[in-house]
Amino acid sequence: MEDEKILALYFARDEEAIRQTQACYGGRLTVLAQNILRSREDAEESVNDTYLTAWQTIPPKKPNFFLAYLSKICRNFAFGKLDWQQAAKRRAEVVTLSQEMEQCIPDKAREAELESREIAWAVNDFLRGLTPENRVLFLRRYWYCDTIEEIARRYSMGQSKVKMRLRRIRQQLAAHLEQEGIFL
Amino acid sequence: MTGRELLLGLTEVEPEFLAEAENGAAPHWHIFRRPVLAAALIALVLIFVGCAYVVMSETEWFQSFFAQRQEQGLSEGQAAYVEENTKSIGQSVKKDGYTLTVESAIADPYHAYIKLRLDAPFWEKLDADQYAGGVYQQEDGSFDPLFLVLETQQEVCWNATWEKLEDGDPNDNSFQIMLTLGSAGTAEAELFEAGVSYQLHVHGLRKFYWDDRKPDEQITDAVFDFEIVFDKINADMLEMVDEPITVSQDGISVRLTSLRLHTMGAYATYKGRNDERGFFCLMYAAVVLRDGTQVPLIQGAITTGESSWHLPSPIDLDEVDYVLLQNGTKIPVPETEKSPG
Repeated sequence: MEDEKILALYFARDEEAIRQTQACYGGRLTVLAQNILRSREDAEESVNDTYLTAWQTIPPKKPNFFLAYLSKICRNFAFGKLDWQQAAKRRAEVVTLSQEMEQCIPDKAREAELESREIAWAVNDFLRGLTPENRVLFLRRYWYCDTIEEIARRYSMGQSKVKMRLRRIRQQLAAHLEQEGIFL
Repeated sequence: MTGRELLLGLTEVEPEFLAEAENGAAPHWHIFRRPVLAAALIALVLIFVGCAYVVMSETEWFQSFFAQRQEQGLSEGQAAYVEENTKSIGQSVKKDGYTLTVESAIADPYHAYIKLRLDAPFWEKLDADQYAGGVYQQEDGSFDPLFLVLETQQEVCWNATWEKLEDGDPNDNSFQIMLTLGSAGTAEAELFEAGVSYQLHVHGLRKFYWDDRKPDEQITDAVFDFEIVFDKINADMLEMVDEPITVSQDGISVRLTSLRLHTMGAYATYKGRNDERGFFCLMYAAVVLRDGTQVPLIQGAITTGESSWHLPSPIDLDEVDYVLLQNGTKIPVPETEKSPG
């Protein structure tokens, strides 16, 4: 079913909206949550919470990009459920991702306390300046938490090429954050 | 701010960017924006790999390589295809102590696989844990600046990837690379022809380190030149759509007007309200052969209303049974295209 029709069901307060959301996007939301949590049970819980939040917020909201809207909610729930200490013990992918993000932070910003929206503002600005190809790669890795192998398979690239490209994008992000000086 | 906070802070990126990343591929994923960049630096990277010299023949090597790529054994027709079309080359160029060899290749009109081997001086150990591999990406974001110069001296840009091959001995001084070439755009133009001389220039050797703080290292800026002539190019094609059909996936519907299978790839045209996202309907599709072997279609270049793919291993078109879409739809070989028997 197309997004517009699903949203119409939400606006009509028809519970079929949730079934259609699940049918169309349940798989992808589960993958996203599983990438973060590495636990099917917790992932399913995050996805169910996502459906409930969508039901509670639409209307009044009418997202232009329905899947992106759902994915944001789901990502938030999944990170909310994540036990970082356990993740570190299991050497989970999110730990690697946070280490890779650490490399992008300028020294003078390490002590700064920033709100999520300030970070988002800086990152959105950075993403706008990237080529579409690099933007997609960056988001698949750091937003969707895909593994290098998954990205390589998805875009039919060698894993080493993906790693090299991401490394260069991280270098660009570090330079952007340094240049913007939003931490001062 | 910590890396963890930065990772969490990404949640609020603009939904347009997420939609772009969700659609599976950027709109111009494999397309060069500039036709030719004469001064492009081509860097061959030190990946380690290389099971030195393998005892198997080049044909057997390619059969094993393709079987691994499709994660199952080759069908009878696939094995025969590789046997008939593998070209042993064995050209070596030595510069600054490094020997680069084009060992063998196989191609159809739209794709080519070229197996290379790099031998360093005997005292040098090539260790994959330290070196990354890939075609050099330019700072302006354009990528894969690999040039093949045709016999006509016309320079052409290609979509190129380097693939890391399994290494039997990480302590030796050599490794192998698979160079995969395809069209830089979606046009179904024939790129490779039998009997034509193609020149491959590899510009320099460069080490890339995983550690972001360690700069790349230029080993040599020597140019390695090779001439490749394919004796045989299989140009067979199989049209799977005799009448336009509607295919749908995740709320997107398109009218598929053509789906042409080649021995190493596929090309489709489609129409519909969402045709710029139409490729999504064909993502994760596979070619199913008569013996049940499934060969996935791997997304290549995309433009509005057309999409191309390559296959992880060549197929014999006479063996094709149907194309399986991710929603379970089967597109069988049309009666008019069926080969006898």
